[in-house]
Amino acid sequence: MKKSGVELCVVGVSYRSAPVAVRERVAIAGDERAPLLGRLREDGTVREAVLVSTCNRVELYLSGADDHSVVAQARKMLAIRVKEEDLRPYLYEHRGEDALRHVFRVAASLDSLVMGEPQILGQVKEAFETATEADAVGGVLGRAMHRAFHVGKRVRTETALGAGQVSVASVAVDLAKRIFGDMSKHEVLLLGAGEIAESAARALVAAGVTKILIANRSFEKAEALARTIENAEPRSLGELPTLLEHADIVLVSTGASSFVVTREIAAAAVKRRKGRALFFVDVAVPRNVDPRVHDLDNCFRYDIDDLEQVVAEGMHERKAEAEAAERIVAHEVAEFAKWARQLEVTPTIVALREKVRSTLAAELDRSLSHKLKHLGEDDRKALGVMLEAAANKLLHAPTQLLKESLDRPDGEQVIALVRQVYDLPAEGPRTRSGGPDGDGPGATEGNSAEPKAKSVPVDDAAAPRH
Amino acid sequence: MVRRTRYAPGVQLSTAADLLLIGTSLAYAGAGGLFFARIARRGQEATQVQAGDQLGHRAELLFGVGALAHFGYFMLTAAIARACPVEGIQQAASLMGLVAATVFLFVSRAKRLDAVGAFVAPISLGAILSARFLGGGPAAPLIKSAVLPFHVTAILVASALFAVSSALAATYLVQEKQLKQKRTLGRTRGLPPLEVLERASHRFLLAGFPLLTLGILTGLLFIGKFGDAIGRAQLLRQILAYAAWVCFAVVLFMRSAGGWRGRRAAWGTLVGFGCAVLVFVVYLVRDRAGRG
Repeated sequence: MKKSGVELCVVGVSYRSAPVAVRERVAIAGDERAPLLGRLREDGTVREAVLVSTCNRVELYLSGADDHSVVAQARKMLAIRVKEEDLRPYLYEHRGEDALRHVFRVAASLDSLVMGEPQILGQVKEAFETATEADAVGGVLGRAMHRAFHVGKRVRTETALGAGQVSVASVAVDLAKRIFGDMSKHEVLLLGAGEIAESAARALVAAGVTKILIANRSFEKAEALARTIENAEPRSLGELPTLLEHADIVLVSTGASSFVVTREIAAAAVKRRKGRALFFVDVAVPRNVDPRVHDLDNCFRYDIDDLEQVVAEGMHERKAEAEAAERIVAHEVAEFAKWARQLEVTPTIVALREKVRSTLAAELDRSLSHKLKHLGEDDRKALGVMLEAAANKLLHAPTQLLKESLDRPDGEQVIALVRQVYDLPAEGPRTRSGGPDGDGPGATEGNSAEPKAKSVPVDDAAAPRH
Repeated sequence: MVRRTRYAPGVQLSTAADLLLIGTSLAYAGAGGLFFARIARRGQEATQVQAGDQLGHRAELLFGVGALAHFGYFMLTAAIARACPVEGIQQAASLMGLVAATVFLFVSRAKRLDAVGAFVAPISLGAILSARFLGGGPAAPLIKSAVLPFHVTAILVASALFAVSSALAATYLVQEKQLKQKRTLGRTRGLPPLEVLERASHRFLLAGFPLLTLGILTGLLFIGKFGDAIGRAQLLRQILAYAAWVCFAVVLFMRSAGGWRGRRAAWGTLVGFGCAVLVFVVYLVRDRAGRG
């Protein structure tokens, strides 16, 4: 048999496969997600779907009868603002266990740009909630997603993958500390109001910075942002040369398409600062600070790629943690796949036990109403228990054989043989009912009980009871 | 008046002094290694940072033990030479290393600059070994003058301060290079912040400069007292001493007037200290050659 049993597909783009210029064209806004999930399932090809859209990835997690049709449908849906042919080189697809592994790795933050960052699990949960509200989640995806949340939690609690410096903002703070040391005596200038720069500004305040100046083309926006950050004051962008003279750390994140801080502006500032160190953090795309600024004496400029490189460097230090997290993911994938494969054999086991029990029950009833009708209530009960125990013992071997057939190449023949020997009725269409609240892996998020204990109810009956 | 008092040929330093020299050298070398290990310590999890700090403390402790042994060696050899400790060049060179180690240990504890020990330890080790082997062992001074102790003290304290300043400048250059290259930041997480290094280096330079000036001015009094045989060595020493003074003066002036704070100031400090070291080397080599 040895097939995965996991009916899951993943189609998407991420920072690994596509530059931000492509990702931003594929990104799906919050209010567009539920309608898209509805359209995806319109013709019935896709049975279940979850859409995850963050700054680093846009992915569809899908379940349906035919992998190829499901993937084709997903590709079409992702190509809303870009031609499908143009998007194709950046798209990746995973199916079966690979898809499951991908979902688990995403939830565990192993596939994140900043490995171990905590936001992704929340984002995946949010995507799942949106899909649930849109009635786009059923038994397969529901269980897989719940299991993914469980994997995410396990990785966070059982490894130190998320510990220490993991975000671009915190890398910026770390670098600032390596240049300036004590943060309390240094001014920070925030140019623009991008999310990462704002987050870095907040991290710097947390690190001890006591003065933040916010300059924006729109003074009102600067004023509004200043109200939300401790120790912040709004300034006009026109004051830039003066601001650069006093600020030591400059976080740049404007929407400008050219350099806001040129080499000349920076050189003049360095001269007026009498050589005091000046640190630019340019997280804008396109970049806002001339890269040549970094060549100036005592002047440092890091853009988003540099920061991410430092983050990636930090990842090497957590290699052992990442390996431990990968082991957790591999274990969970194997468990889930095993559970999924057991679904293939469960109907036969159930039918077998039903057949044997019903046959014995019928024979017992007949005997008790004829030859053994003189037996008292206690004897009848004892006889019933004896037959139940005998049935369990007799069924143990074929049940085990059926379970082992999951890992055998001739598994399907074994199942057919058992069905033939015991004259079991023909198998109906297999369904995976139960949904997120049913049995099996992911049935209850955070429940670390072995899935097989719940998924195959006949297991318990296999042991003789007295 | 020129007086020459040296050990008679065949007379060795006492075994105790040799043991102290070996102990000092091992402690300095070991501390230097630990300081380097502390710099190279990767990782920033709380436990890793704590382990790095512990390594730094152990290195400081070992360096302190080395400094104590160095002090014992210094006193013992001065006693053996029956000379004022700050009159001879051998003792002065050794003392310079000891003062640099002591100053560093005090500053390191106060300012969390333990990583700089990776550069101070080799300086102190180099000072004690060169004084012992390059100079041919402790000896009484060649000239006798009431001003000489002041001259030597000023020069050696200034040199010790410049040694620490240079170690800070060297550490600054390593840290600055890491930040400029952007790619290998994880390898030197144990280094202190750039600005702290720059400021500390400047302060030591500022403290040492008046002493060097005093040393050079008092040194003018001894010009011509060594005789014609050592005229060239004396001239070379003077040129190197003036070059060191000019380097430090330029660095200090340009920092104040021209905003020299980064690489240029650090390199200027290192070049100045290099000249100061050469002054010692010329002294020691001359003394070993016995040409004065």
